[in-house]
Amino acid sequence: MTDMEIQLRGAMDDLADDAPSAAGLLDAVHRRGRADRRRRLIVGTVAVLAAGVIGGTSVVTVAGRHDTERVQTLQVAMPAGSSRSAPPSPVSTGWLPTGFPEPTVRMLGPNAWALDTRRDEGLAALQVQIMSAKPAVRTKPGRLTTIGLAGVEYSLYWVPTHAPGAPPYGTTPPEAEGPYAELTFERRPGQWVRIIVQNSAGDVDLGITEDDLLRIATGLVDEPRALPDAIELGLLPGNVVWGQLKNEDYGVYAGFVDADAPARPVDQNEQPNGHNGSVKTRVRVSVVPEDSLDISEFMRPRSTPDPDGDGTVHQRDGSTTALYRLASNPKLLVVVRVKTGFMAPAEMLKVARSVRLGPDAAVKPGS
Amino acid sequence: MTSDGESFDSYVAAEGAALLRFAHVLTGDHHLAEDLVQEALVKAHRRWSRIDRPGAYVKKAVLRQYLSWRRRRSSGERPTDAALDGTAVQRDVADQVTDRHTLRALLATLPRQQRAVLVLRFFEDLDDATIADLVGCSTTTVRAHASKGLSRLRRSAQTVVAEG
Repeated sequence: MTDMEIQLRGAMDDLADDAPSAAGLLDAVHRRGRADRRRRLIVGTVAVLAAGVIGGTSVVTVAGRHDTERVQTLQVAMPAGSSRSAPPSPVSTGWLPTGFPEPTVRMLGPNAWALDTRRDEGLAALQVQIMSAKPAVRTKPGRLTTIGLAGVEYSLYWVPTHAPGAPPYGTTPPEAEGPYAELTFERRPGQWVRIIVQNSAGDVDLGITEDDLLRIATGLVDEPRALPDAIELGLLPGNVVWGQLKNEDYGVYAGFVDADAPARPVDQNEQPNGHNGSVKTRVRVSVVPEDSLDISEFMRPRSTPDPDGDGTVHQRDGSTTALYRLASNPKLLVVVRVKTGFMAPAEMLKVARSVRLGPDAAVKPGS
Repeated sequence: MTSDGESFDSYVAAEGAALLRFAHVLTGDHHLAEDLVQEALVKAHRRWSRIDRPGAYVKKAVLRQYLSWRRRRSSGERPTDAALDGTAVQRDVADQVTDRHTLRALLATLPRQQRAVLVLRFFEDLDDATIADLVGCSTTTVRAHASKGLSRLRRSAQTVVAEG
């Protein structure tokens, strides 16, 4: 470490020591939450009134105008290699230990999915990851063993029940948080599976044995399992495929990657108790509430005007962002973001207009 | 409550001070640090039942707000000249790059992305992959921000020393 880096740490420690007091923070947060709720209620009412009385801003006016246009763009055939909605997981769970309900499905990356389930009695979160590239195997500070069963080699990583942060598991997740088990194997050529069971309660047992993990593994079946019908796209560039889908109450996020990108394993940070993996996407399409932090920088009064009511396009820090108010719910905005130069702004707006929110979408205005 | 049963209020009571420390290192500004932490906690409170790791979630929210809230930029960053008007740099600097006070002022002049990466690396002790996830960029970009940030600090420090 250089002198500069050492002194930088010292300067940051000084700054931390000068931080404001936390006294009164909780009360301030609750007060602010109440004020925000009131503000959103007022803003929403005013926006609806304004749209009805004076035609609203150019962004609001696109809502009605594009109902017809949106239908037309949805009729355009998707380019080869892509699909309107995220592809289903090719694998479903068969046997699960007592107490685990039917899993939900998430997309973790291109050709990668997670089947998630958790139980409160015998606290444990369980995730089955399916991917097309060999994942990395953890080696420490837990115990790594290899198990051979019916011609398949399984890698089992096991961290026993322990207090959070206790040695030798330290402070780095996932081991730090409590018991953790990970079984990794190649289920069939080109299809890798990682089964993770964990809880963050520290000294509470998982209630799962090595045999249970193997039984989950051997019980997996080749049965497609659909993702929530959260978002559908009528148009996309022909050279990208689905790479990610997040369906949250603060936004539905779809990510698209190069169709010819090499297969990659799921990030090790992706775990049932925390979804921290990242996917490098070429095109990101999301639907978020109009007050979302994701687009706050574009929603200032000085934002680019929208004279034609076709949505707006903004360029900043090397990326281009198209915003389009969802026709079916004007309090939601479609956001299409790419690295500048990857797509023409007009094409991005076409993609934005082709978006349809599905019945399973979790996003709600003002959430 | 989160899946681990922790209530929002007990989380704020336990972690509020640490969040404010992080936000203050990030912004260098009392009011902005309080503002960012409060806003992040309000957002977290609304979806508390669905958050598995409140620590990571709130920290990411603070960071993302700091990086994206352009209107707050003026209160969070200080021009170099205004911040370096004292006598802190008037000392023997033959071996020492600069002192903490000066460095603290210089830190405030960095672009937000560079500052955020340096704070996450040197204050939070996070690795590049984790920083990349938090900031929302690649590890290559993280390394570039860190390198540029440190270079800029070195250059600024040398300028300060030369003018001192």
